[in-house]
Amino acid sequence: MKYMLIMRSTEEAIAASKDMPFEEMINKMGAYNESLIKAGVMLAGEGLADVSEDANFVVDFSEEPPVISDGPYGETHELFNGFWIIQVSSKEEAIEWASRCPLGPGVKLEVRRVTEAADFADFADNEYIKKEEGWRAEEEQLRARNG
Amino acid sequence: MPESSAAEGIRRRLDALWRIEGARIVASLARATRDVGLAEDLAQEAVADALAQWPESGVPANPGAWLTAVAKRKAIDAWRRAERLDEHYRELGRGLAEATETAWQPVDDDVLRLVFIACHPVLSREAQLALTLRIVGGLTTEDIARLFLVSVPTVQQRIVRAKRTLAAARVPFEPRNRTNGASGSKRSWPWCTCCSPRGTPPPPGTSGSDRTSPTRRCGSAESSPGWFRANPRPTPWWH
Repeated sequence: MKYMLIMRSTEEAIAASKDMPFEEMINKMGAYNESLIKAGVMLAGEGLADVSEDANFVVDFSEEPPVISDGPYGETHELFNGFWIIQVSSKEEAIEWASRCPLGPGVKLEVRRVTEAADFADFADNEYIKKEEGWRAEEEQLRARNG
Repeated sequence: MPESSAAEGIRRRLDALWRIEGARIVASLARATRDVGLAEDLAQEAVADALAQWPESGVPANPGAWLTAVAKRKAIDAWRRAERLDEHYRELGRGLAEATETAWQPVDDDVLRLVFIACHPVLSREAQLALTLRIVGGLTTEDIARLFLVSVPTVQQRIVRAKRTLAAARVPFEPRNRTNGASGSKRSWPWCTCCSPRGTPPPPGTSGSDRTSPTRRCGSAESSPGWFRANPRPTPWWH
């Protein structure tokens, strides 16, 4: 089963983290990531750049063409700040790994199951569903070959 | 009697904990007992105790340390009964004194030693694979039977025989010097194809195309479908 661990932080938590020595956070997270990799469950993991950066933007689909604006600002009470995708054998295993994440007060992990081919079984004959199986199989083989 | 939902929840959590911590628990027990087969048996008994006690007492803060401490206590009891107390009791006593809930520091090297033992050349390939997947990978015998398309009793037999062979050959819980294995005979130290640590180079004489490249530890078929799809029958490097 695949799970996505979605890290959400309140504004207070984000502000507080700016006071923490950054290298300490890197070390804690690095150790956690290392344990995920060594256990063979880590599929992906990324952190997101600070919301204040100019690089970020919001695409709003309530109009056509969609509206692009700076942000996100203000509207979000618990900002999505980063994620992991892990592959585990059960919900309980996902709970164990998520519980070990070195996060503090004001931060939550929203853990959602990632859909897989079986979720689209009703559309198994669809051209793109079939193509997607192929893309994923290729990616797995590349991973396996390159270690 | 149907399992209560609390007990069912504990069992599922123990399954997950075993998958994550199992190899380290067995490895640190094997370090104390110098007997991998015994270590695994003791660990399983500790898990059974947990299944019985945790629904009442709650799951301890450090479940891995709890399981290790309980298993070590069982080892002491067994040795008392066998009247081989002195040498082993001293060692275990030392170990128990150190093993407080917060002080448990599993040594990753112990898991590596476990890998070497499970892949010992004195074992047949089937035995190596079954034992490694069981005690290092934490798979159930049902998982292993399904992966290799054999029956559960066959897998159980392989594991029992493997442990007996290791005990009879008095395989020590210390890795052989890897360079010994690389020189000479094909039946020298086998590189474990299932569980070799990432980034560790294979012994000299291995070509890149022979080595199956383990990207993950041996999780269950559900947790590593890609690896097992790509490599349904792992081939040791000397073949």
